[in-house]
Amino acid sequence: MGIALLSFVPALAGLLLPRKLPRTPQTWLLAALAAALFVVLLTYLPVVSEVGHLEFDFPWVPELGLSLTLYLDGLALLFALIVTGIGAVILLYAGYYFEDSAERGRFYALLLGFMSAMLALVLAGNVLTLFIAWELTSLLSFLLISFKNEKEEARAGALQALIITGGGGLALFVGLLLLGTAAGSMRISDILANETLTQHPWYTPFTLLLFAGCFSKSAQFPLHFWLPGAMSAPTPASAYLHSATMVKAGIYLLARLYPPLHETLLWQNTLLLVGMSTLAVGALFALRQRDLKAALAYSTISQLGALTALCALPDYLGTKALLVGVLAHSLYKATLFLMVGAVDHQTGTRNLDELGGLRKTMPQWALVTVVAALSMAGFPPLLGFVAKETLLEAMLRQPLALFVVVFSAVLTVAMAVIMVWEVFFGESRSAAHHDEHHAQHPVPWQMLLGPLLLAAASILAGLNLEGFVTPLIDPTLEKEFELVLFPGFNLPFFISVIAFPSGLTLFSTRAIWRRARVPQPPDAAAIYRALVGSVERAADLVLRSQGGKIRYYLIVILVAMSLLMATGGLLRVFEQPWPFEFSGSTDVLKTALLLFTLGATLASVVFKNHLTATLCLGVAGYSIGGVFLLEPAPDVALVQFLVETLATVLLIIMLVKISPQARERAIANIWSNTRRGLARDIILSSIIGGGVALFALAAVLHRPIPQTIALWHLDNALPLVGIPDVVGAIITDFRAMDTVIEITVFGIVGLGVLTLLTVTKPVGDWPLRPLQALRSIDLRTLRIKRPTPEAPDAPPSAIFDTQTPGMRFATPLTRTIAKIVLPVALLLALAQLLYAGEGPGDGFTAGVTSGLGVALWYIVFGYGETRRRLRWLRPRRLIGGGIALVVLNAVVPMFFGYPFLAHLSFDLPLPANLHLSSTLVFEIGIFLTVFGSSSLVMQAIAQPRDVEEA
Amino acid sequence: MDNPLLLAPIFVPLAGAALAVLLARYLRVQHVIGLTVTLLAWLASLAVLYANWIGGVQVYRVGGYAPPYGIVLAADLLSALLEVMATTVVLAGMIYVLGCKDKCISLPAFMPLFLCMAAGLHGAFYTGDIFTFFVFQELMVLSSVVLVGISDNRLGVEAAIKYLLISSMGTLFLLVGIAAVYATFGTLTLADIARLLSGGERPVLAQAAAVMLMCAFLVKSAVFPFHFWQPDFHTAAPTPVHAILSSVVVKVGVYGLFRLTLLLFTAEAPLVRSLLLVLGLIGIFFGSLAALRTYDAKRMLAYSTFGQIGFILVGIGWGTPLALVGALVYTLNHAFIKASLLMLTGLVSSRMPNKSARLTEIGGAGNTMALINILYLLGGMALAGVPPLNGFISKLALVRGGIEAQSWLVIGLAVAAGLLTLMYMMRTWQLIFQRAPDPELHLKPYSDNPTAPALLIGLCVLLGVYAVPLVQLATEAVNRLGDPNLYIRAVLGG
Repeated sequence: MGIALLSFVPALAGLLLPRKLPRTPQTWLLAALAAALFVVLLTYLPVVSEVGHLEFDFPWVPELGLSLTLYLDGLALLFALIVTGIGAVILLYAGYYFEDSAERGRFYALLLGFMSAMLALVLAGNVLTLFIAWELTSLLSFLLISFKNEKEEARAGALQALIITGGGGLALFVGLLLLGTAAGSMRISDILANETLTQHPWYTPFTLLLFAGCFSKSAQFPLHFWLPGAMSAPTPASAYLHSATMVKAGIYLLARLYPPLHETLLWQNTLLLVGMSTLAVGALFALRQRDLKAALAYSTISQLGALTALCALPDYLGTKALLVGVLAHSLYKATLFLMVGAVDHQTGTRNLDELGGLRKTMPQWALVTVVAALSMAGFPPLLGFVAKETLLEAMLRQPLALFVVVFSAVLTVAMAVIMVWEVFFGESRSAAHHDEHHAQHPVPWQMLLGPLLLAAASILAGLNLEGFVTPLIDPTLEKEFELVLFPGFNLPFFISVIAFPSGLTLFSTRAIWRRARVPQPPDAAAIYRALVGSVERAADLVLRSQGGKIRYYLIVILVAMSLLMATGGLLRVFEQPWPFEFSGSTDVLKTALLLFTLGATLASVVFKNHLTATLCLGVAGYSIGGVFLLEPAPDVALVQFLVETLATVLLIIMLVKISPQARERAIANIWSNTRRGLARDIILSSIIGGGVALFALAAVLHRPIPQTIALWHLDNALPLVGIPDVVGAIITDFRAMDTVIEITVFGIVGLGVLTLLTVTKPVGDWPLRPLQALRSIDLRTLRIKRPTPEAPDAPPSAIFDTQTPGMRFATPLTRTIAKIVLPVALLLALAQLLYAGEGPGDGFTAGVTSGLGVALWYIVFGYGETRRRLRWLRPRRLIGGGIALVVLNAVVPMFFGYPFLAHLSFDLPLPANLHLSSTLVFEIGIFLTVFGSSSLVMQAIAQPRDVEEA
Repeated sequence: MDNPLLLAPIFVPLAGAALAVLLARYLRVQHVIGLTVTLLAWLASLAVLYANWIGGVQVYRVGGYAPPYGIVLAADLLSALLEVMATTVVLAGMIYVLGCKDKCISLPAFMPLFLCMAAGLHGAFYTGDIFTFFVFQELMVLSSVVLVGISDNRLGVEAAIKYLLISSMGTLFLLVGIAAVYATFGTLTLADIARLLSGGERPVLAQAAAVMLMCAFLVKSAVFPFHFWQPDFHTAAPTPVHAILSSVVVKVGVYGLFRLTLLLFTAEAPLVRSLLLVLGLIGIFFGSLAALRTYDAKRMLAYSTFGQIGFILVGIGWGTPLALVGALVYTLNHAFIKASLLMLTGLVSSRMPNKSARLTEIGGAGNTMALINILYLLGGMALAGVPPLNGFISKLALVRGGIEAQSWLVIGLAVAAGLLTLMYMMRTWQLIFQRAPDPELHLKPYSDNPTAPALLIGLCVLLGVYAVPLVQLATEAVNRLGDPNLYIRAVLGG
């Protein structure tokens, strides 16, 4: 049971371990921890070989098939032992490899996290949990590769590795989901028990997707190139992740899913082909590297290829060789990597051209390296020899594959010799270089302990197969097998015998073939770069659509809209009859008014003078008001008239603030449109306008359902709300919440205008007030042009010239008029408020009326005087108070057990036919907000530019 | 049974806004008010979610008028979930505001506008009335326009005007669509319209209205080809506002599409769904590619929102139960991830001398900020769907939905585009946090406060590791959506 939590232990240790711990206790504690995990896992060996597999299941997100399942069988156990065993060695080594304690702490945190993820991967009993661990290993590998994050190549290598393994991970994700869905369960034990998967229609897709994931992770040709790029990782990380454990995750998954999936030609041929090409490519490229780590990376690739090929073989023929190969490779390759780290540490270089003769200064390392290299070359009696023998034995029935194996065995022998000879023997090629570093970076003896242990394991395991190796691989192999060091004089043995002299010959002729110019095969890294480049070019193309011209934005949006509407069934309205009929003279009048509206609107587009155009727009609005009046809907008409007046006044005042030159420029800009552009605009607007008109017409003409709520409102306005005016009842009662929100909108727009127009933007080298920004906008593209200092905008025509008392509009007559109008407007507003329910007019119109009165003041008296004389006018407080009053009025009924916004009526005897009810309070709130907001807007516009006030 | 808690997320911030206007001179008081009301709204939305889980659709009849004659607030599990998402992000945004050093934050109008935007957003999710929906989104749009206009970013005004123009197109579509609905059905209550539509009535305009409303929602969610306003508008916004706009405000349109296909126009849904699939896919590629190559870290996240909304649309487009669960989970998770990433980017750029987030300038700026570094990495992983963060749960649910829908081509393309997400997030992370900083870059000593993004990232981790509650809620929400009559009966009674 406890073993299920085992994989969390390293990560927890990484989190809990004090950062400030001195080197020795920290290092040994962690190494001991990993070793303890190793021992714990070892104790499960007999259990597993007895019962086959252990499984524990904890639910996680059952809806999505996620569960925390542990599945421990021989295969998982072997990998888990490698993860913890090699992990202990690496942790010990790393403690002395990093000199900076902060770096060491960071490295330990990442490495322990990785160890947890890797353990979780091999112990996972649910393909989704396995995938989670898989992604985590990719991510931690990314972080470890870019460990020296300030180096450009480290970052690039890390990103490349992440993109390749992450991309493979996505394929794997879909593959695993398909596999799990096909098997009917995400649990590995269920998938293994399913024998019909090879006949499933999804078999080919999910197998190929799984392959993509495994190949990317295990660096199979042609996705292998990220692995050499990943060598910027600190060497302990390379040794652990990129040779011993993570890169074998793909192999692990192939081996894991081998039983239910392998009995097809697709599986066998693909894996054999890919594995063999990887084997050959890796071995060939390894020989050409001068960077020791790159050479090791390619030799790892080659070994991974062999392991993949072993997964291809039918009838479990490759399993034995696979397990022995995984074990042997982990032991010798980790040793070699750690040696490179030590050499790098001592000499400051890992370039073969600069190394040599190190046996004098690092004799123990030389010894360790010889053992590991011999194991790699497959020299008896080391474990590597057994691995090679079993590999050859497994491949016996595949002549072509056998040839590739032999060929790369020869290359590997040469590689092993090179590595020993050119580093430790020969003469020291840059002695001064070595000496200089020698003094600074001696290799502590503790770093040697780990590699020594691994080398010893290679020897001992080879000598005593029965004791060390057989128990490890026995639980996985179902049938009887024999594993002996020397099986006799058979074909594999002869091949081994031939490989050694050939490899040595290759080694001794290295001076010749190194000079030979081998034609470079297509470099996969270049393909990757080209691919990324073309994606980026596509992206640049996409970005060009975001050109900043709002005209094009609107064109695209409107065209899309028209197309969608046309396909979406708007045209179906033509199939219906169109019952037009005029009834009476009002209809004729309405039609005339509408036509008038249309004409005025068109005129507003055509007139080049802004003021005339604005007035035309006002006329159009008034005509609509006229239609409402004929409806008859005097309430709505009044609102329409007032709003139209306010809008026109505001528009004109704002236009006047902009200098005539600037306005002319803007107009000229708009009319400088080409003929085609103009035609396009006209066509587009006609389509949209026509479409909306059609839509509205169709909506009005085809009313299949009786207007239930409208009738109900008509019937209930008086009985429920107590006012005869149904529009008022809807606004203040039936749909009062809409009104609350709408007046809030009105209020915040006032606040917004004030803030926008008065606040200086404090940004960068270009202090810009929004108003200036507005004026410097190119009206065609709506982009801000930087104001050029040479040609400042001409001063705006001064409608509110506040500095000088002599105003254009401030004649005695206008002053008197203004002084009279405001009180009258307020009085009118009061009347509208008090009798909101009976006659036309309500809180909103009252607010607008009063606001217009204030507007007149600003025009006549100018900003300064108006503010001085109308001290009682605090627009912001009116807005805040108004909204607060409305909300309060809405909440109060709740204290009396009525619903929110309920209508409360107080039957008080009041003169002059007045009613006191919550509606009145509501109307007052509306009035305050609207009045405040409209006078705030006026104040903001009238405000002289130099005054700072918010 | 009426549940007055439905009022709280809307009217408590609204009352707060009114108070904040009145007390505009006292910045501290404004802050206290802001925090209090957003906290209350958050608690209320959680309570509503709980009530919904226990007792089904929660309804409040405003003014006591029975639907369809008055306005009704109605929250089913979908609304309640999205509302919790919105209040959570708004609360985080408010916490960010309290520690934000931007000039515009200290303007007296900022807090009222911010609270109005919140009120509009919250109302849009809770209202059961299609016209009130319009009114709420108007409040939201106008507040956010002003908020962007007053931003410290000097492009704020330009962006605000562009948005105002394009948004008014969306508003027009919405209004015409609503008018058509009202003209044909004579009612504005969602449940009533759904009842009439499910009763077999097929007015001439039903399909056209569905498409019209869809267009309006697509404008709101900035979906291709209605998306042009979004990068400018979002990038120019002050950081906390940007976080809310890019994460939850764009989801109002998504919510509308859920309602459109699952409650109202169920008969027209196949047409809408196939359109959504196509537009979603285009959005995924458009947004991810643009994010890969744009020049600004904040803008990148704005583009990324296109892509992420695309994934959600694909989920809605598939329309199978599992795909809808995926889309819903994706919607929530993306909100938290995107908000936190934006805050983190804003945090780094708040230390830049000119507050810039341009990639050419910001390189290495985060090199010494260890906490922000880790948080951003976690956020980036979550956005790219790397386990065990919440983004992975969304991806898992969505892809399982796709497998359920057997829509192989779309799955393939969408998953492949996931790689682009990984690419642009990790590239930017490397650029900001891993590079050696430019020696001539003098960072300001103070930055915005990292509490809010830290809380959100914590939530992202939590929702990844302990995903059961959210997935169960979403599953139940989709189950209940499967029977529109549940909603109709709860709102209309009987």
